[in-house]
Amino acid sequence: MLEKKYKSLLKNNMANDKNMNCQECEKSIWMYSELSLVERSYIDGHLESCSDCRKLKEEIKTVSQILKQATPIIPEPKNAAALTNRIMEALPVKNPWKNWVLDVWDNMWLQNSLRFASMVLIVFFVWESKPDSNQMKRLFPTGETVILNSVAFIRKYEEIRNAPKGVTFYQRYQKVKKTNI
Amino acid sequence: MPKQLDPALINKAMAGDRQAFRHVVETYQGFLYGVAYRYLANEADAEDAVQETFVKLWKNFSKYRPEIKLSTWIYRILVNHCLDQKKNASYQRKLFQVSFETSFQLGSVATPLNELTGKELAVVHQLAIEQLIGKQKMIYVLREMEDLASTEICQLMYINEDQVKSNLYHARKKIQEFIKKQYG
Repeated sequence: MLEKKYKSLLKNNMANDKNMNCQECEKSIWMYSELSLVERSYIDGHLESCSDCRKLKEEIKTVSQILKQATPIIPEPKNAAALTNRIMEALPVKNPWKNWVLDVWDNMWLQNSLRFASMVLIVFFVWESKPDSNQMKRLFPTGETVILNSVAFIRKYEEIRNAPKGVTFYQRYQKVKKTNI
Repeated sequence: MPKQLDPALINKAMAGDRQAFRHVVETYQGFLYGVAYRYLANEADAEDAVQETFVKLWKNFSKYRPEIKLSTWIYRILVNHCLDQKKNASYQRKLFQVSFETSFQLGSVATPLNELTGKELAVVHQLAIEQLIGKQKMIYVLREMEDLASTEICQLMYINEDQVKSNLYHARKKIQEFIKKQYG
């Protein structure tokens, strides 16, 4: 990340610039072991001219060197064989059918096929629910389904209302139905 | 990192062969225990973490893809488990008690850092690591104690290199500050 910037600064001989941002340099000092050669040479250039940063680097180096003298502790389980047995006992018994179902379910091809099939079904239902769809007309005759075609229903209602008078609304409806047939 | 296992053995373990899985456990358990112990700072918790990691591996072995190294995959399960474990409230209480006891034992002796013996220094370092939290601690353990490269840590923890470097910077700073404060 910083390498590009440092490369261009080195090219322009600005590595020994006293005014280099010490705050920026501080982070690089802490991360010195992670820096690339280009980044290091740039920081070294600044360290030559900045006593504060040099002092910080020395301090960090001293503590790191002391910590490196620590006896390396390689933690190991007290009883490795017992731990292995404990782990093996904790393993659940595998149910081949359950695993098969899970494996099938995890199959990306199957998942994508199901996604595609559901999309096709959604498109089909949306298409089929259009008021002028032939199949919908066949399934639900115009005017008898309020939800599907409220305009047609109102028209039919008007037709029944204006029909020759009967005793009840239903009788008028029957008359209209007969005339339509 | 432990040696890579024979792919045929891994396939057998994936198919549910318990004997083959036992080989996998024997190969990786010591290595996983080391990371878990350094992170959780407790023998019982480290053993539980290793056990939990292998149980999860056993349950999800069919999802393993050979493109990734098995060690990396197991490491990833352990790292996630350890990070989750640290969020646990009861674990936080226990950790506080352990740290308090350790610091009491160490803090009573005001010996300068450069006069401490190798073993004492190791304890001081572990105590300093205890000051770190979450991802920062895990990254420090993996980089400084397990000597993993930044790129490997990125793969294990699903984070980018800048995040690794940033966490490492803060972790190193905190550790030195702690040591300076206690023994400086």
